[in-house]
Amino acid sequence: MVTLNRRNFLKAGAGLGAAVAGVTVATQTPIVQNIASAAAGGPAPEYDTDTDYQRCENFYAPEAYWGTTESITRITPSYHDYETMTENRECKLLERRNRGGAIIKYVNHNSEWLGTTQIIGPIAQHSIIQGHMPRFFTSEQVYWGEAEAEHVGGVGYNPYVKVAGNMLNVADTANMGAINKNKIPIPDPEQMTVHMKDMGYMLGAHEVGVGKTPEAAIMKDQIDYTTMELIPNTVYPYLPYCICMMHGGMVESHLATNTFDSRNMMNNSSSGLITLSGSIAMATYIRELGYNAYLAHGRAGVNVTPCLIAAGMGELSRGGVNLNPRYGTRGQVAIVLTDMPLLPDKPIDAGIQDFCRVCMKCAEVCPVQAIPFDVDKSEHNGYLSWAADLTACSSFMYSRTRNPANNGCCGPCKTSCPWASKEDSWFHQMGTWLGSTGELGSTLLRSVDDIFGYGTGMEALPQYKWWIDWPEIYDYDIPDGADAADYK
Amino acid sequence: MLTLFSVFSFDFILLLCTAVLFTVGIFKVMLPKIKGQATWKKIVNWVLYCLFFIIAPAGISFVQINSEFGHETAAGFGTFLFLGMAVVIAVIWARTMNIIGTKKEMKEVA
Repeated sequence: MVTLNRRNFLKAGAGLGAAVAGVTVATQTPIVQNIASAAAGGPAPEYDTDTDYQRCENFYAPEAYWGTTESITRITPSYHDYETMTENRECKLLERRNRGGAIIKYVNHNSEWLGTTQIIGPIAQHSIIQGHMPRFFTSEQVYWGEAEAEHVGGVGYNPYVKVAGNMLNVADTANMGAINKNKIPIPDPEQMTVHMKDMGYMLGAHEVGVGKTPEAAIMKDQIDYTTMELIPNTVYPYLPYCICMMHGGMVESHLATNTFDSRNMMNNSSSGLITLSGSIAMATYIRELGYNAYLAHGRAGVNVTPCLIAAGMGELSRGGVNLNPRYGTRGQVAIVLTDMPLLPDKPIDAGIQDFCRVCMKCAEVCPVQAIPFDVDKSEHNGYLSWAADLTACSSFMYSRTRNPANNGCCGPCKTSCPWASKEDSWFHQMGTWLGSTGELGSTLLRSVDDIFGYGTGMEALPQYKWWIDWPEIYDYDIPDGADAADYK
Repeated sequence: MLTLFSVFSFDFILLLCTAVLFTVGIFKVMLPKIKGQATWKKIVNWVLYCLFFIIAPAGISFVQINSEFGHETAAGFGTFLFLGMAVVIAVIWARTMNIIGTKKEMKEVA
């Protein structure tokens, strides 16, 4: 029997203290955290303790994600010298962005204005379950079922769709990449912004902008794309800066379609793949520098339209999506969110609000009347905007997924827009200049566009159709009386 | 501005030809024939001359680009609009410069 005299009491106390301390330290180690997390039924965060790299946590474990990034973001960055850029240049590789001839004025991004869009009420964060489409206004819970699941999940019928789907899987994996725990000294925010823009152009983007991430642009739920099930009580991390990369595609390819064929998969996915691969590289690079980075692509949890507006890459259009002065609505975008200190661009005013008020070509050609003819804007999810019915738009698109002649596509609104689907020529630059001068100029541009036969929404130039529809792999019957050649 | 065009591009050749014709036209046609005309006629002639050399190359460029990209309606209407305007301007200019219609005037005088 051990008597508990003063000496033994102290020994026991020290042993107990050491044991408690040991248990405390042990439970704070990543391995034990993993076990504890797994035991609790939650996703197990992974740590790489053998290297100087730290996991950017399992994407579906935001609490662990925040826990590991908090200590990093509080470190004051150390700067090093970087050769000063020549003044009045966008970045070192590009003198200035291609604005397509439009007159550009710079506006603000604050609690009352997101560029030229006025904020007049509370903005609800969107849920990822609302679907794949670019959402800006809708706050209702909408899900389009199996068609969307197949479409978004990259299980489409066209082999090209599977390419896009596989690349999105790569992007999801890249979002779980490692962050260098030892921050590398970087230039000051302005020079670093220049550097990231140069990198974006080198990676193939046609336009790169940096914005202050609008808080409402971050989705509130996460979805497991392997099962298409919502993961409850999850949020996406807020990172203060968004680096937006846009690719406008080839205008010939856009002209090759009547917008109801495989356009989305062939044009949009091609451009999207370029920006997607670029964003993967950029996010990985930022993590190598020791900062947090999360790439947002077509199906990730970030609403791209507010980010693009914040980055000065366009304005909110009548159709509810971003309208870029050069590429209209046909630009495909990937966004890298980061906490690396950057200097955001200002939003722009290219006169698109005045133009959209009088043009209405997109509303005229929309097959499901999802785009309104209203002259005045009204409140939608806190934004003063036109009431585009993106639910009807998306539902129509996904209802067409099984059709080999369209592969889930629709886009007359894109090709009819006088700002979009035009080659980069002097007279189209004159047109966008005219459209950016005000309502009178916008009316003139709309009239000229009609006179010259642009933007009917149905024009298709077959000499540029470079893709194959592979109709034999579709589960689709050619209607009686229809010409089978039309479906090849 | 010159860096916008590659040396052998259609736009560059068009611009070069326009500049050469414009310059030659000034020294060979405008300056010799405009002497002795009334001031208002000189102004009209210079305006028409410059307008022709803006509209004609612009029209050719417009039609060429739209033809290249397959915009049939734009190419067709552009041909009608730009080149039609250029021809009308050229006829008026030639008339005010007394390049055409002089025989009729001489007959009337005789």
